[in-house]
Amino acid sequence: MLSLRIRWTKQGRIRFTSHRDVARIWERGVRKAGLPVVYSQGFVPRQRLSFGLALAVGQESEAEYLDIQTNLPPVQESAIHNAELRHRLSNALPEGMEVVAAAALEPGEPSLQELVSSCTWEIDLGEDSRQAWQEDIGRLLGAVELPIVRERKGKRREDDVRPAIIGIRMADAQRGCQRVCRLIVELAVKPRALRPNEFLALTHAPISATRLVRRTHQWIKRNGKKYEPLAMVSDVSEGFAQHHSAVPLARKEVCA
Amino acid sequence: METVWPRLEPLLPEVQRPARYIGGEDGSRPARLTPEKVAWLLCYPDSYEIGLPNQGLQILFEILNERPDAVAERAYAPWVDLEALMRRDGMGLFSVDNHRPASAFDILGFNLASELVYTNVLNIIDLAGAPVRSAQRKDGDLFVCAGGHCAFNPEPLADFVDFFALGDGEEVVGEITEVVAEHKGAPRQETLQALAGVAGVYVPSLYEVFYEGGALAAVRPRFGGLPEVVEKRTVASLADWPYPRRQIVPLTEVVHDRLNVEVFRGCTRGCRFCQAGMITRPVRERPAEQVRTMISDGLRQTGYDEVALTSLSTADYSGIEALLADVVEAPDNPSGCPAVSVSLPSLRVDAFTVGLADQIKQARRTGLTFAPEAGTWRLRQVINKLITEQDLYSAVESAYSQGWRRVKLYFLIGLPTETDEDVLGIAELARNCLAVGERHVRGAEVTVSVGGCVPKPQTPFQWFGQDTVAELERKVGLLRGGLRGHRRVKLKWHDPRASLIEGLLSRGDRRLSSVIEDVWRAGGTFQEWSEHFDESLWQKAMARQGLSMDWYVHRHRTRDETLPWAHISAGLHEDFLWADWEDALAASGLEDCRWIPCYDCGACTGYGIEHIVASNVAPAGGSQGTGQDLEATGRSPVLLLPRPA
Ligand code: SF4
Repeated sequence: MLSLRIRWTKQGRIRFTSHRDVARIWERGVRKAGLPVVYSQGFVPRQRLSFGLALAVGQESEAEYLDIQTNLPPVQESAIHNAELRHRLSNALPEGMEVVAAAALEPGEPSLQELVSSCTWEIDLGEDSRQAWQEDIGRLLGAVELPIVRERKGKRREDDVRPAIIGIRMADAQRGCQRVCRLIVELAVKPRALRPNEFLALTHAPISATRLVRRTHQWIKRNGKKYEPLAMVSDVSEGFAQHHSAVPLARKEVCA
Repeated sequence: METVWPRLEPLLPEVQRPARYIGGEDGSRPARLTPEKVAWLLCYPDSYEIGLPNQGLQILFEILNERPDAVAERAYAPWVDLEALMRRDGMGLFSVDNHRPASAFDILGFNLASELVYTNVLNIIDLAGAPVRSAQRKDGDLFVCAGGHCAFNPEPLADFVDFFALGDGEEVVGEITEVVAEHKGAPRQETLQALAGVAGVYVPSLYEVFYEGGALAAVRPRFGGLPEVVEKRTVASLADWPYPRRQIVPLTEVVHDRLNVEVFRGCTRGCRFCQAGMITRPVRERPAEQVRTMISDGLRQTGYDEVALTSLSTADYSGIEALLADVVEAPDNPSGCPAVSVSLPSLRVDAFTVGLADQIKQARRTGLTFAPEAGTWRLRQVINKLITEQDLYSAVESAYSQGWRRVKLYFLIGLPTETDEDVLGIAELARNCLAVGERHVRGAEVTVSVGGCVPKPQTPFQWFGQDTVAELERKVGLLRGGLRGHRRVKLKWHDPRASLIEGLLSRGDRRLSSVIEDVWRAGGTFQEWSEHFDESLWQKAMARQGLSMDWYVHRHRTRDETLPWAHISAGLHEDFLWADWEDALAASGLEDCRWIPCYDCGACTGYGIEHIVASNVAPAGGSQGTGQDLEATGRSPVLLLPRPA
């Protein structure tokens, strides 16, 4: 038995599919790729796939994760090459979904849901209101408390989301051939995830459905340091790269 | 390449389920449109979820794209929310494959599987930028074409559709393509005249309708050289058409989301209410080897773990049990998952055995549906659904004994000669089935689903007057009474008002064009969706046009009257249909001609083709349409195995 952790992207048109759609796409993709996945017992056997945090319909991501339990032999004996695996899976997925890294998990590794503590998001803004955004950043970071009202199981309650805003900065960026102004924010997912739309609701220009929101990182905190759940394996390594979450990661820019 | 994507993309975050508009499915095609090619925009006039799985369109999509002189893309009805935004922004219909505007295509081709989509057809023609009435279209406008089951009475849509293609489309689409290619740049009329020369193609504008005192007198060609009666096309053998080779796999949820393999076309069981069975004769089985190949290739390509073996009555396929065993048990099954689920969407009661139940139970436990159709043996003889009560109990026993907990039974009400006793017979059958179930499983359930009979063109019931809404409602009331106190029998029924409108459109004539247009202009689209269906729009439009619902729907027709589809033929001789109608009224059944000598209905004899079946006896147990106990003749009846632990 070998469990794999996969990092994959969701970009372009495919971003309009739902979390449920993506789960079905993965189930078919795993079968098409011929990956010997473990199935659950019972009336309706299901593949043992476990997805991390859901991504809202319409949002892009460079950092989605998926754990797959396979029947492959342990890493040392595994004949599959990492690059070949990524290639095979990417080929079995629709355009816009691509496997960018894969690694074997240590037995007993906690689930993605347990591990991830925050995410970094990019939000593309118009060129126009740079000044207003600068003021927002100052105001939000300087606030002592940011109460918002949320509904949970039919009950309304007030949450202070200031602790969930870990960082905000502005950057110039290129989207296609357009220069855009980009907000880069890191938002906590614990104890309760602060969603990009909830964050935008706190600014001067709240929700615009057409604004492009992209997840670029998911973060794990361990011993006071931040790590990504999986290294970006961009070199062609022989055999399987063993997953070492102790290696801090450099960010790899992915062009749109 | 011309694409509307940059305009569509910003609208998508504002609509429900945007993934249905993005294309990019497995099996979708890259663009390769050149001016010499004939470009088809194949359209299912309902939402993507309903339309994508349609096998007819997928088959034509592939056949056309394999031709050097054609290219095909797909379109579906945009849901009301996106349509509103498209109209606000002045954006037209587009293909989902490459988001090309409809104006980039030569032919807009519809599959008509249900009458209630007719207003959607108008809406889509309008969104495509063409005048909805064919008479107003000019050179350079799209050609609007339609095929599918409803084309067997084309008259209600005759003013909107340039040409209809009758019957199997595999061959005729190629011939149409050739005619349109040859006439590129020619005046529209010339192209239409040439199309009328293709066998199976009906060009309604070239036929004139005559009335006599409010009744239809005749539909006649305007010019010499046109056929008096347009005959359907039939492909002689499915073996020549192993399509789809690459089924389109949607990225978002749709109905029938699985691999679909058609195992045979046509059905000669002869159920008298069933238009599909009558118009698709004769039976043409796909060779078992080809079915196996299509399943294994299809599973490998698509990644599905479920396959449906489709046909009008899959348990009648020769060698069905051996085929199922192969699919279910193949140890190195190509999908790499422990078990492939198999579903048989249409199961005949008298062919459902423990063997079959055992094979498909390994599949996902989706509900099992049986369709006894009528509550008494007498009435089942009227409709020629020759299954005995014992057949039904054996079938449900097979199901419950193999671990199913719920069985769904489908019935029609409003059938010819039906009495209250027949209606109450439904309740009795349901209660007895439940009793069978309770012997095998705890918490057994029966769902009874009833729909009003809508008499269809090209069937023996085409002369029958449909029950009124009030009468159907009364019968549903009777049934509710008959099931009172039986909590484990659930009753569901189809809205009788929707059956009324379906009936109106099914047997309507050309005058209904104005009614359909009125309803569409009043905003009546998506009429097959209960949340959008609006009977009052139809009643108002009928009144405005001075037409009588009663005359079209509830009146019994006589043999001497001209039926609106008299100039359209599915191969069935009119005297065969009339004799069958008289047999129906006499409650006399007619056996399946697949396994007994031909009685010359016309479907084979008229076209020089015949059945293709691999076995000359019916494949499974039960009474096999004879209504008799076959045990006496040495054929083995259904064997019941003990309930699995
Ligand atoms: S022509 Fe004869 S064999 Fe063919 S469908 Fe009709 S009755 Fe059956």
